[in-house]
Amino acid sequence: MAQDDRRQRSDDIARLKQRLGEEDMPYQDISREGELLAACRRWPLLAETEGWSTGSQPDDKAPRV
Amino acid sequence: MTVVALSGLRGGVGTTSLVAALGFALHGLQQRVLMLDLQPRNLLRLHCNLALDAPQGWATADQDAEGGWSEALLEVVEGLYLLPFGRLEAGALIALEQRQQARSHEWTQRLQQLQAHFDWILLDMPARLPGGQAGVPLLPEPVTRIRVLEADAACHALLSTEGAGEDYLLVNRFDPISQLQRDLLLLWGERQAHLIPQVIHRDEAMACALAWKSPVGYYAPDSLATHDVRSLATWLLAQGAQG
Repeated sequence: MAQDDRRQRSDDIARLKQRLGEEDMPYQDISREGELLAACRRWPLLAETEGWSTGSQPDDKAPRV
Repeated sequence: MTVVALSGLRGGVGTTSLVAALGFALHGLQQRVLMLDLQPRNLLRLHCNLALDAPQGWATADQDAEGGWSEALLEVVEGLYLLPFGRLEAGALIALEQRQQARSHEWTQRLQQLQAHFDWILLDMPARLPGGQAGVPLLPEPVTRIRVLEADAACHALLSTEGAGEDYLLVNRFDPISQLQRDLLLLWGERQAHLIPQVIHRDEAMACALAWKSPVGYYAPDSLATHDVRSLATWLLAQGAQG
């Protein structure tokens, strides 16, 4: 399952952090953030719940009130 | 003994079929299981091959003789039991709701009576409105609460506006072909700390199981949904071992 893969990846990063002894090492899972960003661009409802400004619709498909 | 209360985040997400499937799966793992229907619509029994017009259940038994609720307990197979709700007329249902409001701890006591006989008691509960709902009994603590939801926009909106507190979230009817469902699962995986790491995939076998009057694990032992539910049962057992 894709989610398991992601969890596995997180585990790997946790282990790496432990190994390096660098608890505060700043790390961002860029690929996951990119996927979330794309999801929010696709669906205005998701963007809204993520706190994005909904002043402009991401595309012309959404009805305008 | 572990009490697991399953209810939909909204109606129509397949909670009853999941209760039957999970009960069957836990029984397959050598657990003593009771499936208890707390939904007045009384559908869980149909997964256990009871007749459509069979009126018996805990609510009807209690109506016939106060305290007689446990008379309705049925053994499906050895070690797997069912307590149907029963069929009540509208007037009797209103009376039952009023009584449950007055005696809100009734089921806590009943579950304590039952606990010696079972490893698991699975409750099929109605989808709740925020702030509770008349007629839904109070449950003892600790109880493992699972909210069943589909990866769709309505459930996402409800999660955002009402939340689900500390309840576990179980995604049912997941279809990986759907972009929207994949996106929602991704987002929930990030934002919902209590999302169960096992989804139940959309599977025609789950719908057919009710028409065949059995749990999905009995109707289609090799189906995807059966495998998913078996993994869910194993996950629950592991949670119990940890807790």
